[in-house]
Amino acid sequence: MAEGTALDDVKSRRISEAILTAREIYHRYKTKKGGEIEVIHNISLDIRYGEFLGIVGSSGSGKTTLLKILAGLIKPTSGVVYYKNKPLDGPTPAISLVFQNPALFPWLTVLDNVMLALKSFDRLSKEEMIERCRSYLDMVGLSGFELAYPNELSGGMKQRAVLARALVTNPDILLMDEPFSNVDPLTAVSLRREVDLMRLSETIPPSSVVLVSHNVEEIVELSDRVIVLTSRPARIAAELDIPLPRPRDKRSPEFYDFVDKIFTLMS
Amino acid sequence: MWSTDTILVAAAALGASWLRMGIALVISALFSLAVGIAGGTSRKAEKIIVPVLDILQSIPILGFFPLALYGFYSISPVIGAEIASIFLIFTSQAWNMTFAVYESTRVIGLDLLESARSMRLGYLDRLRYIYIPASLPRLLQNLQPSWSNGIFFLVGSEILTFGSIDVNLFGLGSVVAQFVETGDTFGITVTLSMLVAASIATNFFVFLPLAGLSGTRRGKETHLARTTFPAVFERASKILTSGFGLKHVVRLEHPNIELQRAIAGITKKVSLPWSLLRGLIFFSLLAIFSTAVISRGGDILNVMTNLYHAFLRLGPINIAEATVYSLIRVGISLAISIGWSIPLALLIFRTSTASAAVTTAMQVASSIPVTILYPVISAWLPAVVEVKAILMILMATQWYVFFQVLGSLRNIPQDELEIVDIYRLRFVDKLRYLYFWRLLPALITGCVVAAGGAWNALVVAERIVIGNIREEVPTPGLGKLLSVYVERGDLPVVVIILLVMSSVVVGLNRGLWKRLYDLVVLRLKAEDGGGHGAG
Repeated sequence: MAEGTALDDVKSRRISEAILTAREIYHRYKTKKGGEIEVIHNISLDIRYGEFLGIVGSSGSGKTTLLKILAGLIKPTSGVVYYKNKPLDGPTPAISLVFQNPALFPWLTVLDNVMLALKSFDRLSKEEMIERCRSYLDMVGLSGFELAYPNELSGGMKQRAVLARALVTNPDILLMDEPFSNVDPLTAVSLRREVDLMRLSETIPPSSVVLVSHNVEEIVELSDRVIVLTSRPARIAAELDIPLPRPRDKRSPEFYDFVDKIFTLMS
Repeated sequence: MWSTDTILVAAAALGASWLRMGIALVISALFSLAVGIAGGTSRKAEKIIVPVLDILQSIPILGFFPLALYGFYSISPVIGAEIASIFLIFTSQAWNMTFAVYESTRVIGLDLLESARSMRLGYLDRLRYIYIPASLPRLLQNLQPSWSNGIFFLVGSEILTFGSIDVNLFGLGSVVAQFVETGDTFGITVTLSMLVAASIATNFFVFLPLAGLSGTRRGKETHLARTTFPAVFERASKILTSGFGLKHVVRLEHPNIELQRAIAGITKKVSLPWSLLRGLIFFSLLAIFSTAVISRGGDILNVMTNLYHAFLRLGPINIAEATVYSLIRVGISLAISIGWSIPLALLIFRTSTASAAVTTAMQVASSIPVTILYPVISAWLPAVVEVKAILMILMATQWYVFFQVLGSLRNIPQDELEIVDIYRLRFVDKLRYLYFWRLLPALITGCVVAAGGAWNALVVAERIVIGNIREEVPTPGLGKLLSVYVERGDLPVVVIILLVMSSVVVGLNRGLWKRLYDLVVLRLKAEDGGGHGAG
């Protein structure tokens, strides 16, 4: 198949088809006293090819749990997640996850940390792995820091390293769990801008991004579509498209209309 | 044969031993609060208390025999024997508790102390509202390891032989030995069943709920503020009345880990040459003093000559040989402990139910006092005394390694586990990039405790004397040497052996373990000195 047709194919699928689908997800935790707490109540959602989906909800609403279910890390109490129409039965390199805390191994260099993601790719030689990791570290602005240890990096740089690790496997879907909440506000602004720019480039994976956050402005700034969750147990309160042009002006009245709207939906 | 008398005797013996242990534990707790708080709150007291604790914790229980006998027994053989025995049990229980209290009070936040000052709280009020509540969590967690340690040396504390002095107190050790002697199988069975049942029951119904009271082990300030007396007793009664639900047990890590923290804590405070030097001075003074006591005065020159002769009697080559053999025994026991602990911990740590089940089973196993069982199981064990000795050491120490390793693996941050899962690393890679690094510091601290315990256990393992049972390893050993000379009542020689043994323990702690630990932590580049792993 020619390159052009493949791209066209992707673009035509963008609008309608789902790459990751969650159907009737329920999740309950057992408490120590023998009771149960329901954290997710009947959530069904589609993540479409090429979209940036924002999921917003107040703290403790079960957003992280939902994201881990989508990543295949947690098996929901009931309901199924489909990846490309096949049930997801565990973590897959096709779905990457960025945590709130930059979970880098302190005893490995930045390069080794990123290489870890490629360990289960048998077909790559060590040189190819290093080459590829370097290029991704370069992309997130960490060239020159390959041999540094995580503790020598600032919070923002750690998060960049995590981003490189998440992208180096060429995932179809990138799931991000409040990735900007643990870095200082200025760094968060530049990280957000970079994520936004990265999305505009067709050559860089992933096809779809899911961002979970309680920061409404952040969600409006980055998302094509937003799902608003209720507090515990999490249900889908509303869903809305954000057709604003990019890069988005945070001071425009249109932008604030969306922020207000989502705040109203959350409360 | 079945006999009600036998059952009564066994129950009475159990009661007598448990009473001694209980009294010793209460004294240990009070001692630890008094000394620990003094050390933790006063810089001057700290300078004396920490080095002394450092030496005391490295002395095996037999080393306290002379003091116990001359201090208590010779004053009044009737009550004195009883007090001497309780004192000996106390010496096997008190140090880890004292250090736990010391550390707990040492880390009380400055803001708390300053607000106490601004409220003009008197010493008693500070004790009641700050120092004791701050110490309670770790003190409670230390009760169980102290009890286990005490029970391991129970027989040695109830049956004392030092020279011409023979003390044989009514208790579990003496009763079992007597039954073995008369070939009373029923008596043995009854006594041992009671012992095992009582050990398990005490563990589950007293110590684990008590330790559970203290909540999270890491809890510091927030926790400390809430641990007031009424709250503790309220929770205690709640747990005790709610049928000791197993769920309390399941969430607990093995409290023996506390012992490690205590010792690792000491290790950090004192430098090696100073420790050794202090040990030398301490023991020399002890030797001079005790020799002077025995010779009922006499001039110092005489005393020194005595010590010198003692050293000659022992012979430097004998000492060196014994040390090497003991080192090998400790080394083998450690290797075996590590050998099974790591695979088993790796196998079960990711399943909560499996971890809880294995932990519970091991808590039961480790609470059974092998020294008392020894006369009976001795027949089933391999006939080689060397092997038996290693088994004895293992029974006293292997748990430390396992619980440490399991604890460290269970403490791996969820994020890190999820990452290796997401990238679907093979087991070998998970081991290499994650598990290995996370368990390494804990493995070392586990080894420190296990080795320390092993050195103490040597005095029982290398030479067993229970009633008429006498078994000793054919090769030399420091424990054997100590046991022999204690029995002969040769005090100067005992002191010299103690000095050697204590120096070896202290030397290994500082020279080997601490260096290894620092090396690993440095390599880990962990921010808080391996806080995750060593927890």
